[in-house]
Amino acid sequence: MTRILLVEDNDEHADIVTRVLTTRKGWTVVRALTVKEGLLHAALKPFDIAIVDYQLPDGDGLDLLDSLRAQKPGLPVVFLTAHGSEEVAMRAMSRGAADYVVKGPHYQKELPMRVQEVLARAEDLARVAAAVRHSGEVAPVAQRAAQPRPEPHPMDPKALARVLKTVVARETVGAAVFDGTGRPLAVQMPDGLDAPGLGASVAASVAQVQQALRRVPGAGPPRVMLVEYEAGLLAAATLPGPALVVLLFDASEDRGEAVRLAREAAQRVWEASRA
Amino acid sequence: MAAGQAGSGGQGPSLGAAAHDLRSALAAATAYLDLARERVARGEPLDDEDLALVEKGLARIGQALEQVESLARQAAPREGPR
Repeated sequence: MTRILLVEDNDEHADIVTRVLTTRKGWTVVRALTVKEGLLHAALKPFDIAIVDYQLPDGDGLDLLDSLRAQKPGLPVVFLTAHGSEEVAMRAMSRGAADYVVKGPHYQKELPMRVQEVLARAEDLARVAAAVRHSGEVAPVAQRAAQPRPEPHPMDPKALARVLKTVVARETVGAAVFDGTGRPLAVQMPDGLDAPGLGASVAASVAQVQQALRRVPGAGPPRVMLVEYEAGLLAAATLPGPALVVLLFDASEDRGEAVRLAREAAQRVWEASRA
Repeated sequence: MAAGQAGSGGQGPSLGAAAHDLRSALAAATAYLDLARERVARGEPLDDEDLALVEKGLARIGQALEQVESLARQAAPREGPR
């Protein structure tokens, strides 16, 4: 069962959103009309995700977003904005919204997909958080990640390049991360990643990342962390400060998921830098 | 939020708020049309409620458009009605 909190004062849009979301198996929607009502629902009932409209009768969605994140830090929020309010959407993202959808024509087709993606990411993070809790602290997890794998797989340079390309393409992320942080460069290569040909590929890719980030005006030296897939998940979830986490993964692992997680890691870095 | 709610101190709605209402109404009507189309594509019959929702959406577009026109006239009084 997926429980969705919808905070939307417009009856038509609330109806549309409820209709399209409740066609998904197991999805239920509880509607609130105001900021106050939304916070009340969130306090009294468990939800898996919140969808928040920007313009509400007793305040704006950004304030509600802040309050929800303070009240329910693990609750992902998808922001709804009107066409022409993309700048508001960007502000919402910088304040911790998981995603946004612009209420233009046909937006009802996009919304369920965005919600699905956000829910999937939230599940990943919950799994990571559970692993961290289970380990007690970060250090033992890092030690575990550093242990040799029982069955090492050769890394796939092409897949790696694809992930790195995804990250490099987001130079704006680099600008946000490194602008003003003044953090020193630290490239970390864990042991066990020296499959034939990989070293050169990784080095070239790292250089590519660094070069891309250096082109950003005012950016300090990039702090790039190369970690294995599992450790990358943990790092993305637990790193205290801004860092660019590049996820390396085995050919046997789900590349689509790795790319998605790399994007999410970059997003987290961007958000952290804006906090 | 409706355009009529926008603004404060009795200043009335702004053109921007009215345009927002118009876009919102357009998005809602389009969504209802899409939903009706999807029902037909699934082989399900449209009922009165489906059509009423589309009709209501179109009526809201009309209202919002009237408001935009009214505000536009106020903003450019010399132009006069056409």
